[in-house]
Order: sequence, then C-alpha cells, then structure tokens
Amino acid sequence: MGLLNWARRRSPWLLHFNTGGCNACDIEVVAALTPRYDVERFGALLVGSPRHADIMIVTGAITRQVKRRLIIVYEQMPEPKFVVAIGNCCISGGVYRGAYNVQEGLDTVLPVSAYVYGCPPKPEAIVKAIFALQEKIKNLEKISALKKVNKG
Amino acid sequence: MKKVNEVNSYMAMTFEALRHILKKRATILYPFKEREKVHVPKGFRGELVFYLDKCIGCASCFKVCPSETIEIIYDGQKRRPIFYLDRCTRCQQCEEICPTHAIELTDNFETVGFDRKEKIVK
Amino acid sequence: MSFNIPIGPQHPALKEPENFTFTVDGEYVVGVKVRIGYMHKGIEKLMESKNYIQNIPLVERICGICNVAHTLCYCQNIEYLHGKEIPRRAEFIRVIIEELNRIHSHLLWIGIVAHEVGFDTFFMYTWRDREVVMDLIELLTGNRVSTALNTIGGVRRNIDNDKAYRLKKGMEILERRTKYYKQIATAEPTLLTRLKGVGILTPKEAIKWSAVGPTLRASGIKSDVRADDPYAAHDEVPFNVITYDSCDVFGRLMVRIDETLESIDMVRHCLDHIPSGPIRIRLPNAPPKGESISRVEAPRGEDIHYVKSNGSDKPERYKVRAPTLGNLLSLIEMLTSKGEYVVHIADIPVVLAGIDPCMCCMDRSIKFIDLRKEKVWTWTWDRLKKYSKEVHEKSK
Repeated sequence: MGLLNWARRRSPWLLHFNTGGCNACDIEVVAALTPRYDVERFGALLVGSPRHADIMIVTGAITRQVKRRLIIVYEQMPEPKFVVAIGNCCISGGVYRGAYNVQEGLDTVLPVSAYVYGCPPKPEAIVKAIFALQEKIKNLEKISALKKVNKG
Repeated sequence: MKKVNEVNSYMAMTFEALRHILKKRATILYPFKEREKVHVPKGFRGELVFYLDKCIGCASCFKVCPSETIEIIYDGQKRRPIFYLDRCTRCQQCEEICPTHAIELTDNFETVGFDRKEKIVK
Repeated sequence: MSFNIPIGPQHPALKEPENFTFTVDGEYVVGVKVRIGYMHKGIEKLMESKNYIQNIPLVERICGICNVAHTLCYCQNIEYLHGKEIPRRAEFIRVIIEELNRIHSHLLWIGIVAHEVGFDTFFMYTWRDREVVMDLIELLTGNRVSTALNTIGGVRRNIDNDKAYRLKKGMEILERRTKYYKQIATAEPTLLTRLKGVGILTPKEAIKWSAVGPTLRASGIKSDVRADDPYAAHDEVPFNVITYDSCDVFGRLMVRIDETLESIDMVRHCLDHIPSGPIRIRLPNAPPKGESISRVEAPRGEDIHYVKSNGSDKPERYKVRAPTLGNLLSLIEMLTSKGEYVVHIADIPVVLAGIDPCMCCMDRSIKFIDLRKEKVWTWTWDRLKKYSKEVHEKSK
C-alpha cells in the first residue's frame, strides 16, 4: 500500500476547467507549463479527458450555466480525486460578488482540497500549491473525507 | 532551388536546438534551490498587512474598495475595518487613499492555504 | 448522411467554455451552430451599484489579456464627460503600457496557434520570450497581468531613468527574437501547409459580417482606430498600418508578427520623446450629466464603450462592445464548405484560434421573455434599431 501511494503522489495528472472568469488565471496556469516554471518536474501533465485525471484545477467565477456541467465533469473522474481552486474569483466570488449570475465560491458546489489566493496568483504560487498538495496526501487513508460540501 | 530552401529551413531549427545544449537552462528551480532568483521588484503588489494603532477610523478605504473586502465595525469608542482577504483584488487603491499609511501591500506572493478563515482583525 | 459533433464547454483545444455543434459530411464540415453565454456574469448591472472609482478594477477584469484597453477606454470616457485634459506625460505613459500589452498578447497568440497546429517547440520558445515582457510589465506596475496603471485623471506610477534603461534593453532582445520568428514562419514547411488556404474570408464578406482587428486587416482593408481617430498621444507617435492580401490564417499570423515589430519601435520612440511634468490631476467624484462614447484599438480589434451619467457618483448605464463579438459571425462564414472551398475537421481548432477569441469580453446576450403573456421571442437587428430610435425620440 505504501508503494501505491508513493506512485500516486509522484505523478498527479491535471485537468483544467475554466468556469467563466476573466482568463487571467488561465494564462497563468498555462504559463506554469512553459520552460521558466516547468511544473512537469513534479510529474504533472495536462490531460484532455476527465477519465484520465487525478486533480481538477478550477479557475474563474462560477456562473449559473456552468455549474451543472461542472458537477457532471467532476463525477466522471475516478477515485482518488482532488480539487484545487485558483484565484480569488473561484474561492469567494472576487470582484463579481453580488452579480446576479455568479455563485459565491467553489465551496458551495464541490469539496475543495487546496486554495491559491491572488488576483491572479503568480505561476510560482501554483507550482507551490501542487507540491503542498503532494505533501498533504502522504497518508491517503487519513484523508477520506477532505471537506464536507456546504450546501446553502 | 526549392529543395535547397526546404533543406535550409529544416536545418535552421536543428541548429537552433543544438545551439541550446551549450546555453544555461531557462528553468528557475523554485521552491527548493533557487528561491532568491524569483523576480520580485520593488513596488510589487502582494498580500495586505494592516496596522491597527495607526488607524483613525475615517472609512475612506471602505469607499474605494471594489470587491467588499473591507467591512467597518464599531469597537466601543471608534470604528475600525475588518479585511476578508479571500476577496481582495490587490489593486492598491486603499493604500493610496489612507491618510496615515495604516495599510501596506507586502511582497508575499506565496499565498497557498487549506482553510478559508483568512480574515485579519489586527 | 450528415452527423453532428458537439465540442462542448470542457475540451482540450479550447481554453474557455463555449459550445459549438458541427454538422459534418464525411471529412468535410458543412455547418456550425454557436451557443455562447457560459461566461455571462452580469458586469454591466453590477457597475450601476458601485461608484466610479470602485468600477476601475471591475472594468479591468472584463478581460484579463487585454485589460489595458478596457481601463484606457473607461478612463477616457469619464474624462470626456468632465471635459478636462490630462497632462501630456500621462498620455505618453499610457501609450507605453498599451503597446507593451499588445506585444504580450500577440506573442501569446503566436504560441497558441503553433500549439493548435502541433508544433509544440515553437509554443515553448515564444512563451519563454514572452517572460521578458512580463518582467518589464511587473517592474512598471507591480503585477504581471492586471496592471491597474490607468486611473481617472492620469496614471498612478511614474517611469524613472533606471526603468527606462531596462525597458530599452528588453526591447533589443525582443526585436532580435521576433525577427527570428518571422524567418521561421515564412520558411517552415509544416506551418505553411497547415495555415495557407485555411479560413478564407474575402474582403466583401469581411465588411458584410463586421469583422474587426487583424482578421479584417489580413483581408487587405486598412482600418485601425489609432490612425483613423487618434487618442492619447497617438497623433505624435508615427507607425504604419499593416495589411496583407492573403485572406487566410497565414495572413493573420504575418499581420500580428509585423504589428509586434511596430509596437517595439513605438515604445522606443515614446521613451526618447517623453516630456516632463505631472502625471495626474484630481477630478471631482461626480461628473456632470450627459452621455459619452470612446473607442480604442485593443489587441483583438476595436473596442467601444458608452456611458450615461445623471449627476450622481454612480453611472446610470454602461455598455461595452468587445471586439470578439464582431468576429464571431465571420467565424460561421469561415467554417462552412461551399463549392471549391472545403473545410476539414482537422482545420477546426486552427480557424477557431485564428480569430483570437476572447469569449469573456463578449458574453452579453439578450433574449426577451414576457412573463405576463408567457411568450418567448427574439428580435432581429432592424427591429431592435427601430425600437431604440422610438424610445430615444420619446425621451427628448
């Protein structure tokens, strides 16, 4: 079991989903793959299908139309899976708080494992978040229910 | 003549790739080895820090904040703000308008957390 | 026998959520239906409940990539309402940051097109050189992407001699690398075969479907807001309007590479001729009653904003027309095969990336639902124009 956890920890495959923000956090996520920051040193890879992925990276303020599709994509990912929220708009609504079409945070929709604050965060902060998540899931049996979903 | 041009253009990219073997690498090995080489200039807009002893309670910061980060509460004698840092856009408008320089934006960019309780009261 | 392929909100080729449904017949694409609206957040309604100073970061986050264009348009609009002129040094600094934003956006686009074609080496090279521009922007303003340098009445930070020296050194590196990319783009056979003859838009069709920006300029039409209607020191800074005659994605690539070289020259000219003086004037919180329009050349095309104020410190109505909305109809024209012009399925990501879509700027949709009569209808463009004229006549 220790070998399986070690292999899972050292190769997180990422799925990127943009839920309708201003695109600034998106280009910082794509910039994290370019030669200067190079998140592939930690074994991470950007994949296209939710069936192949371990970690889902969500950026952007969540609009009402995207919410249903986000839950469908999350349920297609196999266990064990984690969610990382990047940028202040995803965590709490950001500047768009109070608009009629925006949810106030990803906490109300999915269970979140790590938060990266900033508007937009530097790519170094995104690299550090993936590394911090790797450290946190060292013992997988303890982390069975990471965070309960806050409905309401 | 056309074939020579094609061969030239294939070789151009190959020469460029071979030339880069002798150059130093473009990656900065953050976070383990080369932390000091990260480019953080003077005047960088990072996370916010608040000094309660300098605040006079004028609430001008509340009037210019775009994203409901600042909330004004009564504390017995005077008013003071509470900051919800997970909504802050780091636009620096509150630092510009504060008359006593009680708000400051630092160079901290490594803001990663596992819990959302990041309010400052200090 | 035709077949419908949906390409939905989550897809490895698209960086933003939008939905296209393609009707295909074998390998050729016959029709396309576009469904937008996933990114509609309600920004224009939210702007009516915040005052003018609180609206500046909100306008900046209409789009993260072309944010300088949106704040520049907003601040110019409010300054026209007040009727005051800003200092000359502030106008030159505004041009410098606008051209730096254009360089970064075009280098980003060149990388994305190379990635869609499959040429990942070129993508990594372009984005590595883009880091030079991002470091310069971070040095001038404090953040890589959302710059927040423009404000009502001028700019917020100044440029001293040390920063000007580093800007000039950065421009030299960028010019050498951009000329090398131009050499690769004209000679590399994989790029030529995949980009030439793809996504054709004739000049007559481009004007009919209201294309803007480099999509229009690659069809041979000279139209650029900086030359037609100069704003903010563009009347003193010389530049050429770049057009190409091949109406395909390859022409758009060459237009953008040449515009990058022009922007590098403009930044150098501004740094040599900048006057000294103040950078900001103080304006009152509430502008006088009235309406105003301002337009700006964003990296993707022409950007128009409209404001109506009623004397208080919150705007009564604010309307934004972003450039990608104009390019979206020409996308439908480019993706249907008719006669001798065929579109393969493998060309779809290239054409989609070719108009440089920025859907977040664009999602403002209208559909009328009458709750009392329980009827749903949509209006055509002529009917809407007639209605707005009637309302304007009544309110005079």
